[in-house]
Amino acid sequence: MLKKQIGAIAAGVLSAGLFSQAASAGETRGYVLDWWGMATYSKDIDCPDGMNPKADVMFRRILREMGKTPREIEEIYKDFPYPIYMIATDRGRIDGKPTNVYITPTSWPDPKIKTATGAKETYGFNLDGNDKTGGYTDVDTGAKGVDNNLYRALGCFETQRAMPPERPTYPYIYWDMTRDFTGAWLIEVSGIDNDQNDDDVTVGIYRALNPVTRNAAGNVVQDMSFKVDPNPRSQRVVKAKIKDGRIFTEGFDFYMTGDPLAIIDYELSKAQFRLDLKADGTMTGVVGGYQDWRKIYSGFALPGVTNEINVGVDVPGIYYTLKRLADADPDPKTGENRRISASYSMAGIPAFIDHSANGEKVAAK
Amino acid sequence: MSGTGKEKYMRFVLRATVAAVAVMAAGGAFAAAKPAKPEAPLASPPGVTFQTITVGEGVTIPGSSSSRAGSQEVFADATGLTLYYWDKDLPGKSLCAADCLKTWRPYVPAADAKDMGQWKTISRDDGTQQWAYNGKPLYTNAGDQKFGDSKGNDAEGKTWHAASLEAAAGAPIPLGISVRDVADANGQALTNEKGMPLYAFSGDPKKGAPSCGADACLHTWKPFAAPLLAVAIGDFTVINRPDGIRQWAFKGEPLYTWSGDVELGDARGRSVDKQMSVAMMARYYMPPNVAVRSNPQHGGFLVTAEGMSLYARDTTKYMGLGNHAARGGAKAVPAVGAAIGTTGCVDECLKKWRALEAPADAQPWGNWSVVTRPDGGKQWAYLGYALYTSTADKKPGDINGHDEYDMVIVNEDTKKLAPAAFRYGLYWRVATQ
Repeated sequence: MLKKQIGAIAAGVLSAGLFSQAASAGETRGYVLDWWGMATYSKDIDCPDGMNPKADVMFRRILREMGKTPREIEEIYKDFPYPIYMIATDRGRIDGKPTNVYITPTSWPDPKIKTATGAKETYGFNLDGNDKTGGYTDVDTGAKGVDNNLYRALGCFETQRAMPPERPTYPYIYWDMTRDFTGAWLIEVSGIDNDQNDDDVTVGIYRALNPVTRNAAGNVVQDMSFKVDPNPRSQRVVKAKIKDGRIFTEGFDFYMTGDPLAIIDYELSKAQFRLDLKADGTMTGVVGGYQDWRKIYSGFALPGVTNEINVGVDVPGIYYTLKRLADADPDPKTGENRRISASYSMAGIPAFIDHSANGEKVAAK
Repeated sequence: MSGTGKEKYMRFVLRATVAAVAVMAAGGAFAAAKPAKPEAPLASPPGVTFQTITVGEGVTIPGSSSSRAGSQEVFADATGLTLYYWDKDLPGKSLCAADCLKTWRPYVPAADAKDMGQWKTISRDDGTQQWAYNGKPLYTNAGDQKFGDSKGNDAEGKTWHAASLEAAAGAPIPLGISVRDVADANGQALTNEKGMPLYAFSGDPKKGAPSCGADACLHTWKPFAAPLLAVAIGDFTVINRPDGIRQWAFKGEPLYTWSGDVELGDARGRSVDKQMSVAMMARYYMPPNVAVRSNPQHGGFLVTAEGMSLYARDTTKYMGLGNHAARGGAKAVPAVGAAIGTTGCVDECLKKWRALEAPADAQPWGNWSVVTRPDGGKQWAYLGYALYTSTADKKPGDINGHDEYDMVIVNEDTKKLAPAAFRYGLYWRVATQ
């Protein structure tokens, strides 16, 4: 019986791939992400036309544009923001009929939100290879022509801004809120022979079956084990190089399931990763690529009025702005760009990555 | 010990063969003497479904934009109309007549209906038949128009009530044991105080203990202990084990828990040892080409007879607490599933997702309903949602279609608004219990 148990455990270990990884050339390091959000490097010069107003000011304008009289507005504001929940959603008009403005943003005129036209520095990549487009310089590498129109679109909303190491408020909130309910995001760097310069390493990006574990302070606990979701959609493996201690991947099409609370999924075409593996065992990184701007919009539209009130964003305004600033993937019929350049920052802590679920058995009836 | 090595080997083979034959004979005799264990009764007869009604009143919390009332799962007819019983009826005898019948319609069984478990057909005074559950005649209410309506609940001085499953009605159950839904087992089962299922051991406890299985010896069976002063009650008896533990038994079979069950709905011990089965009180109907599997991520989920995962297309909801496709997330809303129907996947979609076909004579039963596709074909729906398999799944156990979203919330054609159920986009989720 004991032999049988030992045999079963040994077989399990082997199927987990733990031995096979150790046998491959080079070192392997695994991380679980404890941060992912829009890359920001916010400075005062970003918004030469000023900041977009917060919710209390924004809704006074919206109510005026809806045709409310000053007296009606004051009446509504006696109990602000609660009456707004009932009023704002159907402020759109189609043929004079109230319409859900988040689902049909074109039922409301473009409020022309302020954008970060003054921003010159960011984290990201020169996605199109053209130094003269994009308009940003990368903070880490000094690369010119960096493309990140997502920040340009959102960077004048207070809740979307931050100077590292601070993190932008709203992206941080929705990242934090979804951690306990969705599979953890994992990064595995393997084949490291020289952690300063190595032309042949591999970066795997995975979604786990289990969510992160937190400590009493709410922080993600390091050195936990995560089982990789066997769904092929949740796995990307890409070649990379280490140059002066920094890892750069090849361009690839990135996919990661997100959450309807924020962005349903991150599907970045022509994506690039840049990772810094720290001496203390942690990791930071930047991801850039072109993203379907309508999916980004949907992340603002689904929470709708809650988002406008609590986060202080103008949802129809974001629709018009993302559409205007989209800079890739033109529709063959209309010529309108369907994707927008975007950069995301991330941070990871050490974790054990278990690939055994690719052959996991499930209990049969 | 004498003899050559070959002789020793032959003696060993002979002894082993005799022993093996003896064991097989004992096992065979045991098997022959032990009749097949009857399955727990089905919770409802064909044509009787489950629906969810709203009970009580919602409370709006200051600062919140919504309120939420409670809900209750009740029996309904094949069209989803809630079934009620009346406090004034007698067991097996309807007293609702004359004016009463203007509001309350006796629920008439099909001509070929047969008594089933707690369900019996009774004769009314006018000679017609009526379904009764646990002896209570059942009715629909004339004011109910669609599934989920419950105008009759608590009506007429709270003498009328929506009828719901009472798998243990009238049966005494010891303290510390409950009857509750166990998703992995597709029914209601005996559970311990933590809601974990109890398993009954059909083998002879004097001849051995249940096996932990070749793959699962990290987990163990634990005798479900009875208190020192426990006495037999109803179908429950107490076994004094040689190790001193007093163990509950149900219908003569000792009860155990499985240490691998950790979350509500788990019954992961059910495939470990054929002599161990979940102590079921009622089974939910399951079409013959469907089964239940489970994993830690989703709990119990539906698969075809071949083991291929089944999926539902659902509408996306704004969930303040994150991914609603995770275990323990938002529950399916049958009204939404019914609104989506088969229109959630047509044309190109059907190249990637394949409808779970139902036979032409399939009828609603329990949590299952039947929807008609545009081509006239029948399709099974579970909890209101039409079911599909995914071409992304290549082998049994794959769940590659889960969490696939078509959620782009923007309608730019102001002349053509999407149907309400579709407005916030759709996504695919594995069909969970």
